[in-house]
Amino acid sequence: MSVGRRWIVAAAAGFVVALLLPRLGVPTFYVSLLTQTWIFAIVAMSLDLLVGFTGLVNFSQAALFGVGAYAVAIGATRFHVTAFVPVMALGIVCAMVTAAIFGLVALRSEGVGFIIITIALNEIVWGLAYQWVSVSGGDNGITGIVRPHVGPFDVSENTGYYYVCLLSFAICLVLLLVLVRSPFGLVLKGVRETPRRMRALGYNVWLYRYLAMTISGGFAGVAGVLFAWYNQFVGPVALSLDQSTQILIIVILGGIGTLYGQVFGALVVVFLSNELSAVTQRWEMVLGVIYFAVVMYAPGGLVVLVPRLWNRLLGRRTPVTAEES
Amino acid sequence: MSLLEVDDIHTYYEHSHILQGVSLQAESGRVTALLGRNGVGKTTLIRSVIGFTPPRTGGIRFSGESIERLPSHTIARRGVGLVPQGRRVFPSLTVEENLRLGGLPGRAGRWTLETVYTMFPRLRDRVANYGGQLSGGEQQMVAIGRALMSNPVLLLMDEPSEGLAPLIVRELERTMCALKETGLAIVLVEQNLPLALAVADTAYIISKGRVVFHGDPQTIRTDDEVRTKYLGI
Repeated sequence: MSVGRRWIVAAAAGFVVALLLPRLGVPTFYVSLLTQTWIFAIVAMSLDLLVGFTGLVNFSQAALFGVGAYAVAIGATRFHVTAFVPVMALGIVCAMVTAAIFGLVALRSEGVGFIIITIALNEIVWGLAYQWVSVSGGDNGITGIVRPHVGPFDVSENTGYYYVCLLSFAICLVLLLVLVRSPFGLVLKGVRETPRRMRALGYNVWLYRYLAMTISGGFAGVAGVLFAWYNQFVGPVALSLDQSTQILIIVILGGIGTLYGQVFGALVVVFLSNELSAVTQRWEMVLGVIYFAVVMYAPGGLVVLVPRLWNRLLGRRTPVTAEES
Repeated sequence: MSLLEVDDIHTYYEHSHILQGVSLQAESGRVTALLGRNGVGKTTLIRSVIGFTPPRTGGIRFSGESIERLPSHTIARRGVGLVPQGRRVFPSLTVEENLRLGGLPGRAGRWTLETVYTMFPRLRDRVANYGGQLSGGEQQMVAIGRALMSNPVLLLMDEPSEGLAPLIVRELERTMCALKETGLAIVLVEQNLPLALAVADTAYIISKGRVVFHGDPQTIRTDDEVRTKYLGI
């Protein structure tokens, strides 16, 4: 079987397992952790579009995620917008508009300058959420968000909501895979490799980066909307710089430029942060060690490590793919 | 009126005054060679035309329009192709992806994937290989093919023979002659004097940021004084 074919089979099998999990007697607590995993995998994929395919390390992804989440909260509590489609559309549009504004500011610079500006932008949005109490509720956040009906389905309980997030993840993954394999995606890869070469080939590098940022913001918004419904609460932590860092860590752990690798990254970060924090207050240290180990020994991310371990388990040698060599 | 008219340009890197009043012309269907020792400003001239380092003063006209203040991508879209020094193939993209990136909407013409493969049959066998896995000669083919995909009117080639085996250089010579036949204007920066003189219709020698010779390449071949004084051979 070719490598590509094997991935399709693995992805299909993974999806079926993911569909069955809540029916296999997995405790509710773990179902809800898996729900979080899908949500964080979506926002990590949105960042991967920038880091892995466009060459932009964006530290403002949590702000976009948070804008999506606050859009749900404010829409629900002030304007009584609660149906699935309008809320999702509202979250996506708000996040994309924010991303488009961020792009105007941050893309005046590149490299380290870009990173610093995105950190500042994230802090500005966090500051708004924290201090503009009349709108955002400040540190108390906004409560009273109710999960919507999706068509005829009531997804207010955890299992139903798990499926909403799983399917949202699958749709986002497919859309992003189509995007990065399109001619537009090819241009992004060229921009990632050598921006100057692309200019000489007639591409407006700024414009492509700007479009990528805006599109990425939309996907971050999807995750933010799902997150608000998941918690039924939104607070400034959702869009903190720590959150941005964690999203970037998921991308690096999962495998930069792989998209589907973000599932593994999100799985590790969500489960470890929840399980370890029950055992020790220093769970972030443990996470740090794991992060370090992955960067040292599996720089391609867990997405490279998982099939390798799987093959070793079966006593097979790992075929070396072109991308690794 | 020539296709490309560079008129008394002065180009700087920060405070270093690299090009000190260079003028030259390039015509369709002809190869214009830029010769000179290392560090005299040949590559800077190419960079000035494509807009990487725009001239501080002076003008560059392409097809009769001023381009010296346009961004690089606009200059490229108007029909200026670049085969950069060191080839600069995208290493993590396949041969076909490299070529596809060269194609621009609105610039369709003679050159397509198919015609590029016809010109460089070897690339057809390497379509799925990554840019980083190619030999120097194959990379050069990709770099030329990539530039042709946008159907340029003017092709800037910066030291295309650098690091290539003599046999491959012969192939390159044939390629350039074939391209010239199609009506393409080529500006060729080259250290390989025999190659440059074999394909060039007109030649400029640049020394210390100025044009010190302009004329028939045949003169350079026969005039020992010009060769020793400006080319060091």
